[in-house]
Amino acid sequence: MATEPISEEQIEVLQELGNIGASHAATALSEWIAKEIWISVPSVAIAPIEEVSDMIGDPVSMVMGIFARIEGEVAGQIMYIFPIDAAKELMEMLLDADERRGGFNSFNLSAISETGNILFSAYIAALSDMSGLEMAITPPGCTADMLAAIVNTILLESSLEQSNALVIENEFLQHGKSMKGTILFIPDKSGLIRMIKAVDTD
Amino acid sequence: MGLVNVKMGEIVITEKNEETLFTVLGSCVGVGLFDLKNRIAGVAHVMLPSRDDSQTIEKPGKYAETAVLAAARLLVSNGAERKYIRSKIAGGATMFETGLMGNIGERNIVAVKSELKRLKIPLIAEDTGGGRGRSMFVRPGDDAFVIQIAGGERRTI
Repeated sequence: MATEPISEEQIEVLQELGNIGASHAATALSEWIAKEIWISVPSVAIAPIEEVSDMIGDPVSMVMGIFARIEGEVAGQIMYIFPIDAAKELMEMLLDADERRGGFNSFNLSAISETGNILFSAYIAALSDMSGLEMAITPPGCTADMLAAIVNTILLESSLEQSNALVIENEFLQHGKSMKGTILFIPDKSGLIRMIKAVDTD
Repeated sequence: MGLVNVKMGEIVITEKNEETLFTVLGSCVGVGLFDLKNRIAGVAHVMLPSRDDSQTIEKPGKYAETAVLAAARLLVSNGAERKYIRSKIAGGATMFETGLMGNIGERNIVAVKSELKRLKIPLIAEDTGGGRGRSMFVRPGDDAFVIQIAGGERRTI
């Protein structure tokens, strides 16, 4: 696939955006579950979207994926992918024991989707503030399935004209518990260029 | 035993008995073509119905309208006989129930079937639709495809 070359400086700018967005997301998440959450962002990478699934892990491993569309001056997609065990921990934080017994039923999945809504809104708001470009997310949906099945489905739409994803590995920390996950930010090609231009003032 | 992952948009064939092709499918459709007599099989991991759904023209394996023919040709050029080629397909799930992704899975299934019909390649079995992802395992010389559903259930088509 033909990929627009992105300079080292531009990658740094995008990594910085990824970091700041993720820390805003952690703050919003803390408020949502009423517990203090710290975030560490071990890596932010730019990758051709077709390589993303392999970067994250075993294609058949079970994960939770929360997905939303981005609309506005930068259009695209955003996704949060995390291990199924972490999804169960998240449910422990959000739901009482009775509710949890329902497993991944539609009520519990909607609680997880709402977490994505909060995470993505904070993330996109931070990006929007920094770039001065208007962006908003549509209500997210989520599903538990195999990593490659989820990622590939998301990529179906984006692989067509968009070529790069911002892959933000992160770890939410809360009272000694850690929840590792990956935020995928996939702006359309023109949106990515617009964002880089808006932020890169040099 | 060698497991070969057929990634999005790829077409991979094998005639090695010790090799198993596998592919992980959400809304994509896996098209398995096989010639039992000549012990050769192939898998195309179809992403979209047609090039109209895309801006780019690259791998023929991406699109139903080009992938089935390309896979059949690849089989024949590696020793398969056209008249013995059969097919089984899997995938085309609707992964997000909110309808966020449209009906791409369903459209992929329809497009693959119509292409198989046009090329007169018999469709022997399918495991398509629904809301779960699948892995499909294909071995040359064996027309039983193992389908592994996300979460553990396993069936054979």
